[in-house]
Amino acid sequence: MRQLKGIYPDYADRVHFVAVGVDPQEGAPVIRSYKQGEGFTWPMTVADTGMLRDYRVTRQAVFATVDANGIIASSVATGSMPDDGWRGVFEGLIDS
Amino acid sequence: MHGLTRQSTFVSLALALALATGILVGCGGDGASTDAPPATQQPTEAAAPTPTQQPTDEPATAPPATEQPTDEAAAPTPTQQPTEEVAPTSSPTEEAATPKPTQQPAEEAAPTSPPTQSQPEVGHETGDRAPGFTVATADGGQLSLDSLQGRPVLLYFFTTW
Repeated sequence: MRQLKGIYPDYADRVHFVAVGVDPQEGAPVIRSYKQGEGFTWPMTVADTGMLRDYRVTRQAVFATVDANGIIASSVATGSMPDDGWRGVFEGLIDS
Repeated sequence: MHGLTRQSTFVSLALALALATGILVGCGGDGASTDAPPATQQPTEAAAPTPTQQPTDEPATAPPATEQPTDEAAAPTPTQQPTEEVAPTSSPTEEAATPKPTQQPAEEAAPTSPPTQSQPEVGHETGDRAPGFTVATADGGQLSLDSLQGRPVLLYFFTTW
């Protein structure tokens, strides 16, 4: 996720980026401390079992995208990719 | 001789007339007793009843005709007026009934359903409607998918470790 610190600012005004916790043991204080320590500027949430179930999230470092009409543009996929890969995800989402 | 002959002839004629009259009276008495008297009374009764009934009928017919206009002038007028006054009152009721058909707000609900039918079902696959959510943020707030409408959303699932 640190990788996105240098990419997200280029799309911040066109894409909502939200970091969602997966570990139920990590509460708001832990995540808040982590956010402040890393200097992340995007919203970060605690784990929600209902949401994780609905989106079929079973591991960490994955992402899903939703277009402006509320339709899933891409289901859960690995977030391990180079910067160009992330930029392609953002731009493809904007064009969707 | 000639005088006797005349007398006898006259007598015989008189008798013949008398017989004839008697026969006529006798025959007519049976038949004329029924016909004659009525014939005599008929003209009397026929003349009397007719003129008597006519005037009787005319007055009988006349009074009602005179009363009718009186009744029509009295009753119908006040009766119809209220009826007409009720009619305009009922027209607003019809106007109220008219909006009912205008309840085509039901039709407004219909257009709402088609878009819903055209929308995909909620799911986790590409092309599905994204499941809604409301989650707590690390900052103590809440975040929902609905609040992010208007722009595409990238959800990144992470852990701190």
